[in-house]
Amino acid sequence: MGNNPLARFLMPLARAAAIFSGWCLLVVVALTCVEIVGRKFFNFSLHGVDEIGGYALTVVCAFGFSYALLRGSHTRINLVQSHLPARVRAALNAITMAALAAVSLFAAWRGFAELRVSIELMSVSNSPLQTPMWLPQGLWFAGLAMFAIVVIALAVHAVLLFLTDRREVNRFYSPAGSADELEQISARIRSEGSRSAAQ
Amino acid sequence: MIGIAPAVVGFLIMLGLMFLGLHVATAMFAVGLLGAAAYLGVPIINALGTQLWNVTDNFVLLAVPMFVLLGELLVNCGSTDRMYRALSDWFSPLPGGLLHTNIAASALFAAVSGSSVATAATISTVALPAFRDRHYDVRLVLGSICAGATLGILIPPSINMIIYGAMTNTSVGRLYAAGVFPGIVLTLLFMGVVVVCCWIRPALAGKRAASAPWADRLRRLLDLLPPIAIFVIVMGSIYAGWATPTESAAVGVMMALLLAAAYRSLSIRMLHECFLTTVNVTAMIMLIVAAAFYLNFVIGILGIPQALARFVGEIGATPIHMMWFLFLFYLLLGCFLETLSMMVGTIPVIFPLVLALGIDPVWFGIFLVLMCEIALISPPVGMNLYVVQGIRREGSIADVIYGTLPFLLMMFVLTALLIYFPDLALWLPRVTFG
Repeated sequence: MGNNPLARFLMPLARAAAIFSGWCLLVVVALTCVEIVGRKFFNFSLHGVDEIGGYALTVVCAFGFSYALLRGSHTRINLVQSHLPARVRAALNAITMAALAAVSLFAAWRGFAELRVSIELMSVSNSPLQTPMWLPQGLWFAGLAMFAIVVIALAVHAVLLFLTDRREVNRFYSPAGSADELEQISARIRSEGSRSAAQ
Repeated sequence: MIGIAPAVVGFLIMLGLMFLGLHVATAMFAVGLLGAAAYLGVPIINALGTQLWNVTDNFVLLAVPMFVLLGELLVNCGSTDRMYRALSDWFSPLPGGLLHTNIAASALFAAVSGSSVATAATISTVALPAFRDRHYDVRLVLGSICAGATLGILIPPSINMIIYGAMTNTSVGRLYAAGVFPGIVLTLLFMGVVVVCCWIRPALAGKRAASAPWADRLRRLLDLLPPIAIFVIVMGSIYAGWATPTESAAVGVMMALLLAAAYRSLSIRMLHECFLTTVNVTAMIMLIVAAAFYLNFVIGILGIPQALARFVGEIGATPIHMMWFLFLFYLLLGCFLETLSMMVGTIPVIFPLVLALGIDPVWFGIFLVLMCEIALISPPVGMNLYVVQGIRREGSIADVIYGTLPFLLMMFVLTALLIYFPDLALWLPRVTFG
């Protein structure tokens, strides 16, 4: 999705979310090390590091989905597509984004249902920590909602492009490693090469 | 309860959606939701939220981002470059010279990284420049990197094993123990095939470089200590029962941070770069895993595993027949599917079948990882082929594919060894965990 203007616009937000979840991960790494050393040598335990670790993974995933999407990392199989004519590819690429938008919207909706139940019942985790579940689930839902918004924005963009200028769909929404993408990369390398040669 | 025919139709729909180029996760979610809508109704459709939360609120799977972060830290602090140089001093005198360094460095990096793609990217970045102007056979160079890198998921820690363990409730610690000997044997097989190739046609190995002075060689051995120490502590704490795989991964990350500080490359900027790659890789993996868990959940309620188990019972297949059949099945599927998608997309139906035949789940995990390794280098979509070609940026991918053939053959040899001598994998977990 390298030079997709919409992806470039959304990237800073997704990047910030990814870095935030990276720090969450690092905090859990530190807590886990304290826990192991404490348990092994000082006969003391922090209690619930594994629980917090589980929440950290929900955050890393929910916040990471958008970032991975904008980097074009979510896996697609490119084998059949590359043999199809450009017009069909454009349609498939637009459909792919619309389908992912539907999935992400559904996931966010069901995620919200989980969160709402936790809030209504004031659920706490079944553990010594007694975490109020709305806390981790609220963060998790925020990530899912962000993913849904990002995918829907991209899907609308892809479908609009399909209706107006089909070549652009393939330029921005082809699977990673496809001929369309490789062409762009080699074009970029060429232009960078000629620029550095000019300097 | 539904029969086999609808299950096969569902599987074909999933493959069809994947081949149309839809996101793999979309294809899996769609088929799961389709199954739920056709046979089970609204409560199971709506259970997607709960399932999604349960997959990611999972301490076992937390090991995935941790091991990715560990590998990233080691790459970004320059430890892998040093490791490659130190190994090349010692392996260059063998017939095949630097080619062995590719395999040994891959094996060693695999022992601290859980990903084959990361291993391929890392080793080709440090190795390809080392071969410039040395007149090695370019195909064998590329093949040794591609194939060596597949060791990333066989030699523990392995991301694929964590996911297999989480999906099938198999102990990740046992899987790690089971991967050690097959990993060592495959490394030796790879080196053996290089020796044989270069012995038959010495032209394949290039000019021998003058050996470095002994003082340098000994000093550079120190560079091997950090990755070895991390491996020993991470794996040792699992086997000693001090820590779970996830906890030991956290210890590994902490050691890598200290190493980066010692090499004076630790900074906020470097940390953020590592975070971004880690989150990117984790999110990519977990979206597929989440979809596969939901699919698994629906398939389980539909009773497809029992139907399949009955079917296999009726045709009276022996475990050995079944494994050769599955070998061919995965060989074919691996040509067209991305590895992780292939693994998690087939576990829901294949695993119950394997259990019904009385095959050890730990053994099958190793078998499946080996099938993934083969898939990583099978054209036309083998991921490692493209990673190495992408970093090489010249010539044709056909060179890479030709180069992997001798190594592919060795993987077939290991498959046979594993099928006829299951203790190759199962002996170590038995003696360490009882």
